[in-house]
Amino acid sequence: RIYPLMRVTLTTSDGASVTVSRQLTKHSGFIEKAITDMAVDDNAVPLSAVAVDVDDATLKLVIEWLTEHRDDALPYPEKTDEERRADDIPAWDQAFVQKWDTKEDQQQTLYAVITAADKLDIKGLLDMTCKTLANKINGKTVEEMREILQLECDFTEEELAEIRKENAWCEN
Amino acid sequence: CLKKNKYYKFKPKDRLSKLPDELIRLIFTELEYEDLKSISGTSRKMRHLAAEAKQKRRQEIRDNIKTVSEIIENLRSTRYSNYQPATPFSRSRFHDHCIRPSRHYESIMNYECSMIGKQSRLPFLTLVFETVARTPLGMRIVALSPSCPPACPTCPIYCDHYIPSGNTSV
Repeated sequence: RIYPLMRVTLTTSDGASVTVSRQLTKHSGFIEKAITDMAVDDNAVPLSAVAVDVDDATLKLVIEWLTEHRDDALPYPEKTDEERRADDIPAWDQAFVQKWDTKEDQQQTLYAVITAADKLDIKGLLDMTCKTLANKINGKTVEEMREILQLECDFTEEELAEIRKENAWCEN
Repeated sequence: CLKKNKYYKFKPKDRLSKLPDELIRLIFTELEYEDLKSISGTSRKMRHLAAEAKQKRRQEIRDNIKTVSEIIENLRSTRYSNYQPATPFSRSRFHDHCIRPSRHYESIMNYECSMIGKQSRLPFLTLVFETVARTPLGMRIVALSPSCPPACPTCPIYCDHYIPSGNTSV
């Protein structure tokens, strides 16, 4: 269903308020459920505010993505394992991420958007951002992965030796 | 310029580990099998979560394995267009332990057959192929033995003469 005239006010975790079209929020399972739970009349304007556990800066990015994808088909198509691939991110999405996923940002925003997409239940955005993160580490060595993902190695020397032994067959 | 993120105060290190496990699992579904192996070597938490993903991927391999004839046909249609198997291959299917992904053909030619012995580098692997399409076959590079190594009695990669009558799958 399309609700072109309906708008929803979202209150962010840091106290900001943003009003958006239902045409955008229909892509968010969380917001749609919240609206349903409020049992409002679809024709009522405006709706009560929906509190989202996302900060204002991240929500703006989410809304930017939703605006571009407002006409995407719903429900979001579930892909089988065979259809799953990380190299099919649309060009607009790639450019969108590149705007803020900078080296200086150290993926802080990417993690924030992934988490926001999960909390708001926006499957398309979650899928795209997870692929983006996966693409950063595809084909990388263990050490490169640690550096990219900023993971701290908490293995003992014995455990590391065992891991190297396990992985020896697929190493250079 | 984005405002400073106030809500997601990830520490400078280990942001991935701070994500809920379910999200990490979701990200792992986008990784290749050998990348799962690599990330399992980064930290204990990643090792734990990657183990689940690897198990799932191995199940996919078991469920989606191609027949030898399909593989060879695929092989011939790609870079190994001149490949001729030294031994007639059977229509059998493979065990997952007989399939190993590798990002390097050279390394797989020296592949260590885990079923025979970790230190036994056997030269019996004569076929290396890569399927064209993205399939759940891990890295989609598979080595198989045309020589029916007797030291691997449970290995289903048999030549035709080793296949019990009617046994075409594992």
